[in-house]
Amino acid sequence: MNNNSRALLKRIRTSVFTAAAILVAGAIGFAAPAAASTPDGETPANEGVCDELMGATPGLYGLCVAYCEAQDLDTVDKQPPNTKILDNYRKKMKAGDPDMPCIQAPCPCWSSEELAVITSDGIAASCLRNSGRIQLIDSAPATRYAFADTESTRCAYVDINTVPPKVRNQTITAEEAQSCMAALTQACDALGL
Amino acid sequence: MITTIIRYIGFSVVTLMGCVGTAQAALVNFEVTGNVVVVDASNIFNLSGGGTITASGVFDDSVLAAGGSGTIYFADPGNSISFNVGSKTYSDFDLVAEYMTLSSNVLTDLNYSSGDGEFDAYFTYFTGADGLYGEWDGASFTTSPVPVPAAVWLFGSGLLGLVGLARRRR
Repeated sequence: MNNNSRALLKRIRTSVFTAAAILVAGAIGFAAPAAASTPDGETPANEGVCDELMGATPGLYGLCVAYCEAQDLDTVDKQPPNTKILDNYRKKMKAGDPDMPCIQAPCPCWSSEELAVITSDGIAASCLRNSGRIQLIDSAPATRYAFADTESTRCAYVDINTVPPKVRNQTITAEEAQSCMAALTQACDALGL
Repeated sequence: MITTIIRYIGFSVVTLMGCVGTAQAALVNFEVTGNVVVVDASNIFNLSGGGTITASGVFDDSVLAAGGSGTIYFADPGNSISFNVGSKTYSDFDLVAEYMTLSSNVLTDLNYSSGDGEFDAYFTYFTGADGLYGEWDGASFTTSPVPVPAAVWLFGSGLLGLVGLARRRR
């Protein structure tokens, strides 16, 4: 192999490496935003749930963003992967600081499966809303509904299609009422009701 | 003299009737029936499925638009509501949250909470302890004028008669 051939081979090798490097860089460039996407598809920056901590003890806002917003715990119903950030948040908390904003108490009147049953038969349900109250109703084949009230802090769940019928009615905490209200609002909105 | 007294008393009665009539014409009694759909066999109300309960009380109907539509707040003066639920009675607990909405004299929303989960009403439904669930029969809503107590007439006419006498003596 003469010098010219070696030079040509070297040039080809360099070109191949360069092309490969460009391809890899391009792939990373395309993949990065996809990898950064969150469950709700929004950039995990400020989505508002932590804004109430702006004037709170320094550090709490950042921990809230890391816990609630970056993981979309404020909008997506899922279990947090670990509680380290939450533990740190609660260690830093001083008197007057609110608890981690996206911690939601479960609604004690129904499970997520029972709520899903109301709309699962494909028959149009109705949704009543008035002054802090909301009720998601399906009347067929027989009545089943879920009700939440944030003013009188109460909830109810009725399903007379089952044997025995399910009837739950109780007074709950304000946090639980908010959770019930959020679940029903989400269900009604999803149905366009 | 007797003629004069009678004349004054007669005048007083007529005047008082007009005043009282004007002041209380807007107050009406109301009643609406609720149908019990299910309830546990053994329950604190001594109710059974297929039974009925009632909500009744008084409200000032001047807040309603022509045709009988509007919302009545039981915190407003003169208004009240109570529920007969089998052997139990519930009355004003949290007046701020208690109201009912009528549409063309049909009940479309009745909001009430006993505060302990024992008995609650919302929209056209009610639920309670021991599996109580039912629906208000909105069309069963009825009203009737609140009668003026006889004592008011007697007291008022006597008072005005005396005033008339006193003026006559002067």
